[in-house]
Amino acid sequence: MTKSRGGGWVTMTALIALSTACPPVPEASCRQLCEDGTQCDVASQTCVAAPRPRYLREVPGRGVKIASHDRTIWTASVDPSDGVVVVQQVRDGVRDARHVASPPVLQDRKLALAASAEGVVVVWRNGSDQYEVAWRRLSADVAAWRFATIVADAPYAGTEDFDLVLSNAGAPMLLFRDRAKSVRVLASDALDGAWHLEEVDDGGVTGDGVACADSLRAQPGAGVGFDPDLVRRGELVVAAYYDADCGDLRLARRSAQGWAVTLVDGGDDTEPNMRHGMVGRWPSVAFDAAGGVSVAYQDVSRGRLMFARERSGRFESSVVDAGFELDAFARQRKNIVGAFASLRVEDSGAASIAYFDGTGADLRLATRAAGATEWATRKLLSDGAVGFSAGQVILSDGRQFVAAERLNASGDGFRSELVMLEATR
Amino acid sequence: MRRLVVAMVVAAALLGCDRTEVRSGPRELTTLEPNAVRVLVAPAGIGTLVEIANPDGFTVNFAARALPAEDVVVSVGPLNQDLGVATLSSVTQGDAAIVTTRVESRAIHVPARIVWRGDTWVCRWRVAADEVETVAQLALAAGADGPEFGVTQQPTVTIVNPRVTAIDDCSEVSPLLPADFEDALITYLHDALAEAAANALPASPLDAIGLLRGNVRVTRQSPFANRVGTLVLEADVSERHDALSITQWGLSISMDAATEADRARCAPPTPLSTPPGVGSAPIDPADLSRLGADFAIAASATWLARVAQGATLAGYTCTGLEDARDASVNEEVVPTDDLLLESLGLDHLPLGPFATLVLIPGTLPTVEPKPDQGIIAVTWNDLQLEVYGEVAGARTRLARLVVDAELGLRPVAQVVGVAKFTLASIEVSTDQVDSELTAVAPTQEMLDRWARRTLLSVLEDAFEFPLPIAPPVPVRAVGVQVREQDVVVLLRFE
Repeated sequence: MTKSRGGGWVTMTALIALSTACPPVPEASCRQLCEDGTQCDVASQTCVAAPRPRYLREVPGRGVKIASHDRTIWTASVDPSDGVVVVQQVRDGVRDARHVASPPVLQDRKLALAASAEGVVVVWRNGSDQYEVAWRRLSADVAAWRFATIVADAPYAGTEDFDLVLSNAGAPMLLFRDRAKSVRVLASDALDGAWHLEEVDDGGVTGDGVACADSLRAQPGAGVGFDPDLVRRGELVVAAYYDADCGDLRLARRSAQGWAVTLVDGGDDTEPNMRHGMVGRWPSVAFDAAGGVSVAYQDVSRGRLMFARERSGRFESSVVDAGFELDAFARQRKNIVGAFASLRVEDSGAASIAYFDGTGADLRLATRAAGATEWATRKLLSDGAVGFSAGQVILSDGRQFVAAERLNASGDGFRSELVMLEATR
Repeated sequence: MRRLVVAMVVAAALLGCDRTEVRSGPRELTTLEPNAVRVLVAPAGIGTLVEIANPDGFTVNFAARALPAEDVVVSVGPLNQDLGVATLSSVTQGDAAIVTTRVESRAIHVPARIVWRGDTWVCRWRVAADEVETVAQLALAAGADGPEFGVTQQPTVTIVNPRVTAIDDCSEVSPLLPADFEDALITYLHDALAEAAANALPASPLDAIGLLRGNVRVTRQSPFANRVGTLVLEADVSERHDALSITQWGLSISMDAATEADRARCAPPTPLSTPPGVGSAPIDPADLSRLGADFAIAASATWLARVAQGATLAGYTCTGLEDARDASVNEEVVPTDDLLLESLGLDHLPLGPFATLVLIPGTLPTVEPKPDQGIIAVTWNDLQLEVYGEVAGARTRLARLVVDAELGLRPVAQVVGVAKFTLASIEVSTDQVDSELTAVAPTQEMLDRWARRTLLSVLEDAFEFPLPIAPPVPVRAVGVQVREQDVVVLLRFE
């Protein structure tokens, strides 16, 4: 399918994949034909990616994702006022924010961000339900971003539920909820390589024999694979996601035989009013030093933060923060906590979860010392409405950073602000 | 056991089955308000109690009876037949009620068994009459499980112009029957109908109405542990000699009742503030006649206030956010656009399409009848009203208002199964507003107007109380009265 700039047609790939893959053009027309975001490289007579300009405004926080490698932190976020994708690099206190892309505005845009020794990658969904990928090699200039549309060996219909990991060698893997109500993966050996589509979970019976009733699966509008979190440690690849049909938390694990699906938490419907035991939104997965899997997530029905750890092939869940606190009138109030859970488990066994308190609109952190079983929780930030899209990283030097969005009310609406702070340990 | 079942059914209905666990227990409350609840069943309504206690009609189950005869063995019956009721009426006379039942008399089939020379014939006769009527006189008597209805004497039976016709061909043995066989057959039917008339009376007048009594603990269920509390209700027939009586005005019942609560932690840490009162006033029988009501219930204002306060302490008014399901099946959520959040300075916020309102009581409500205005005034101070919306997909509290509310509840008639009140008036004064997301601070007037409008939408259908009865057939409230010390609901069986 092709479309022209001035009446003629060029390839759609050229429109979106603003890279050195552009076909050579006559020198006379090179400057005229290169798309926005590219520039004419006179020497090679090709359209090459233009250096991404600095983002000079306050860095926005909408849908913020945070990733790190070594002692460098990256955040990716969207400016809700104009849809600009902003990627910020922070190293040793030096910040560099770039206007990476201005995709056509989509509602509820989300981003995925991953970093490795090779580079940093951002993914978003375009208006054709395909995923766009932007990446920069760490060896390249900080402004040198490349772009592509993910076209796989089979058709797919992406949604706003997706996540991305990179192997140490930089091979990407994107897990997403397909509109066809299944969880799928797009994998490639390289960002500019060929993408292969894999099935992960069609919502059927899990490997441990748990099924969601057909009547629930048949509901319109729901499905399996919401809020996925994908992690990788060497060859171990695990994803946790929410099954909205049954209100369950599922986990998929990749092996040489393919993907195996396990039920992490099926919810609590034992009490008379727990008709809808829905658990497993905002899951965040982490490996411990031995490769054991843990998941932090929200118990939606009870509005609380949970932690599940795998032991002998089964997950055991416990409450991290039930969301109760006494108010000034000695009433116990219930806060809705646990959204945007972001779990990190260190090699020592110490664990921490950054999360959102929806009642106080606060950013909170739960920590558990190595060898301990009890969690301690505290507010990290409570100034304004803060904590949306919370995420955290732990750098190679042991420092811990938490990022989130703050909404600042003003006379003419709201301003989205990225807040990032180092958590004292 | 029956009384506990009734009490549990009623208690569950009072507070909503899906949010309630009901358990009965031993009597535990010592200070009962005398005459907290009164019931008056109109004279005609007593007959209706008999009628609804016999949904299949007039049931005759009478054992066979041997008749004297020579050379043959003859027995009449047994008779097992449901007869249709043509009319049923009742009046009171002194301390008794007279129930007159006219049964369908076109075809009463009576069998007879005849044994002759070792052979047995079973033959049937059809008894028809111009009119079959039973008259039972019933009174109240003490029973093992409370007061019971009983007949003061054997019911009388009138069979006008009876006609006996053989249905089956029993000509071989008919000549052997006694000469007065047909008279014996009529006498047998007479006795059978008299026993059936006595058996048709409901054993307990309280069970016939399904009146709440006994001790029940009604526990609020919630996904949130801080909303779990227990309302303790106790009610029983007063021990005074005139607590249960039949008079010319009908069947009168006085109940003593008490209410306490085990506090849910979401509720304010305060005891019930309304002490037990002096009870309800006698019900005016003229009101029943005027509205054609079968019976009426009067509940004292103090008892109602204690139930309202007890329900609040038990967590029943801590509401919202308990249903996490999708909006398409979630009854808690409201369209965000309907909330007019711009009044709170919350416009331009990137919100999801649905929002949820949360109510948390800061004090216990007070209840006061206003008979001159025909309303019940409810004052509820420090009521916390919260709005939650979806921001970035996460449930987020957008604003919290603390308001003092004064509600005027006007009773509504012609409603089935419940005592319904509409919000005749609502006055709201906003004491405090908190929001991390308010762009422009709203004025006090805007806040009050928004809170009033929102409370109105939350509460407009909230004051619909199932009656403290569980009758076997639906009842319709045909009239409601607010009086100085109580509220009277006049009811008719559907």
